[in-house]
Amino acid sequence: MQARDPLEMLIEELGDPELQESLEKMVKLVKALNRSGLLDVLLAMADEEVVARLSSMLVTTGTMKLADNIEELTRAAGEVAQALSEPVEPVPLSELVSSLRDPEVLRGLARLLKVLKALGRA
Amino acid sequence: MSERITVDARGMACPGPITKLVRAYRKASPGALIEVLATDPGFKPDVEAWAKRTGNEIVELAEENGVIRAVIRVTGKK
Amino acid sequence: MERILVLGAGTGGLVAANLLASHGYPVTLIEKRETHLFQPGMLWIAFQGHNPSRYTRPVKELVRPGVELVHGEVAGIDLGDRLVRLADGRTFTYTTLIIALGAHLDYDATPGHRELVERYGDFYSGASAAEKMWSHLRELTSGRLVIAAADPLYKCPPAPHKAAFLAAYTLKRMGRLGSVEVHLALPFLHEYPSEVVARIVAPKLEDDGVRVSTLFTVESIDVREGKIYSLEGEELDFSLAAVIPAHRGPMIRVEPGEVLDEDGFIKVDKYRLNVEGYDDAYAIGDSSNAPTSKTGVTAHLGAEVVVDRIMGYDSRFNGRTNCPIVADGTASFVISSYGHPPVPVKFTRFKRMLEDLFIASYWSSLKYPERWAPIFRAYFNATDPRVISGGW
Repeated sequence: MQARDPLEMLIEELGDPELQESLEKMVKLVKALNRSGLLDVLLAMADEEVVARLSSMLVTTGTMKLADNIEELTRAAGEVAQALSEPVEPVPLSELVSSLRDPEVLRGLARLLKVLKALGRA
Repeated sequence: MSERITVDARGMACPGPITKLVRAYRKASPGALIEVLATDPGFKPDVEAWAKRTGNEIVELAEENGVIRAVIRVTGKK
Repeated sequence: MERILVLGAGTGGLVAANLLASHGYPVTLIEKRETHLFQPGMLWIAFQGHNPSRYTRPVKELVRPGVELVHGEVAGIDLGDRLVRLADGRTFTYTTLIIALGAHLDYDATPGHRELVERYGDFYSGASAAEKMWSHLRELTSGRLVIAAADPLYKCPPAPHKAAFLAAYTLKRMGRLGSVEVHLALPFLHEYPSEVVARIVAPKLEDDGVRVSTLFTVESIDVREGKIYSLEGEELDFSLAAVIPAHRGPMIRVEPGEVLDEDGFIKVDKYRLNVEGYDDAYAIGDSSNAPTSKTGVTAHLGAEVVVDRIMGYDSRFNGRTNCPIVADGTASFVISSYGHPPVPVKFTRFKRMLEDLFIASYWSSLKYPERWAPIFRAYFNATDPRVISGGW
C-alpha cells in the first residue's frame, strides 16, 4: 500500500461542510481573542520560566491537600453558613455548660482543637 | 546432607527480602534449607508470618549487628 | 564524532531521546515496534472495553525532528567496544548509550500460562490481548474472574488491584457482580506489598466487592480444568483468569555479562543510573535493577536524570514512584522514594481527576518533556514522601 499524499488528504478534508463550519468559528474565536489582547497574554505566559513559577506557586503541598479535601470543606462551610443564617438568642452561662453535653458540640470542639493544632504547626 | 540455599537480601527494603525468599522457595526441593540475610527490620515479623501461613519451619531466627538471619526448612512442599 | 544511542521507544527512551534533541544533541533511537502503547491503557481496554486506538500512537509521530529513528530489533550490546548489534546484522557505535528496553514477560516460566493467554488474553502482553480479555469479560455471566501474579516482582505494582476494581465496576454496571466473583490473588503477605498501602486498599476492595487471597503465587495453570495452583499449596477455580507473568531483563546479549543481575536486569548505580562499571552507558526504566517500582513515572524521571547528567549536571535519581490505584470514581497514589516507604494516601475524587490529567498529558509529555518538567517538578515536590509523611 502506498502512503497517501498529505496535501491531497487535506484538500479532500476541506470539502467537508462540518470542517468548513468549524474553521469559520475557529477564525472568529482567534480574531476575538486577538482583539481582546488575550492572545498576547497567552503568548507571554507560554514561557518556560513563567510556567515554572506559576506551577511552583499553584501546585504546593498546601493546595494539593486543600483540593483533596474540598468536598469536606465546602460541606462544612455550607453547614456553618446555614447556622449563621438562623436567629440566635444570647446563651446564659448555665445553658452553655449543659450544651457541652451535646455530642455535636463536643465533636465540633474536638475539631476546633485539631484546627488550632494545625494552625500552630503551620 | 540436605540442599542449602542462601539468599542475601541485605540492604533491600520491604518487601524485597520476602520476594527473594519466595523466589528461592520456588526453586527449593522439600527438606531443603533456605537461609535469608536481611537488614530490613520488617523482615522478622514478615518471615514469621510467611512461614506460619505456608507451613514451613523456621529453624533459626536471630539478629546480630543489625543483620537478621533466618533459616527455613522447606516442609510446606509435597 | 558524538552519537548518543537510545535503545527502545517506550516511555523512558522517548523522553530521553526527545529531551536530548531539544538540547541539540545528535541522537539515534532504535525501536523494533511501529507503535507505542500507553501500557496502563491495557487495563481500560481489558476491563472497561475502551478502544485501543486511545492508547496507541505510531512511534514516528512521537519523535521530534532531530531524533534519528531506526526501525530494528536490538540483539546485543558490547559495552567495552561501544557497539550495539541488531538482529538483522546492522551495527551501531556510540559515545553514550541509554538502554531503555523494558522488561521481558516470561510466559514460559509458568506451566499452562501461554495456553491461558492465547485463550483469554490478559492486560500485560499487548492491546490485542487486552481486547481479547474484554471480549470474554463481557460474556461472563457467572463463575469467578481471577486476577493473579506468577511472581511478586512485576511492573506497576497496583496493576492487579486496578484490574480488580475496574472489572468489579464493569460487572456491577452489568448487574452481574454477585453471580460473578472478582477474586484478586496476590503473592504478598498483605493486600499490597506495603502494609501502609494495604491498610488503605483492603477496605476499598471489600467495599467494591472484590475478594482477596494473599500469599498466592501462581505456580501452574490448568486451562481445561479451570484451576490455578499456587506455590504456597492452594488452588483457585476460575471461569476467566488473567495472570501477570514473571518479569525478566531484556532478552539481549550483553558483554560483559557481569552487568546483568540473576534475572537479566541491568545493574546500575541507583542514583546516577549508569551501568555498573561504565560511565558512558545508562539503563533506565524497567530494564534496570534500580530498587524501585517498575513504572512509567520512574522511567520518565530516570530519563530526565540521565539527560541532565549527559549535559554535565550532577542530577540524582531518587526512586520516586507515583503509582495510581484507580477505583470507582476515586483514586489513590503509591508515593515513595529511596529510603522513604509508601505514605498513607487516601482514595479521593480529586486524585482521580489528577490521574485523568496525567493520562491526558501522556502523549504530549513524551514528545515535549521539557514543557511539562516544571509542572511535574512542582507536583513531585509538593507530594514528596518526606513532606507528606503524615499522609495525603
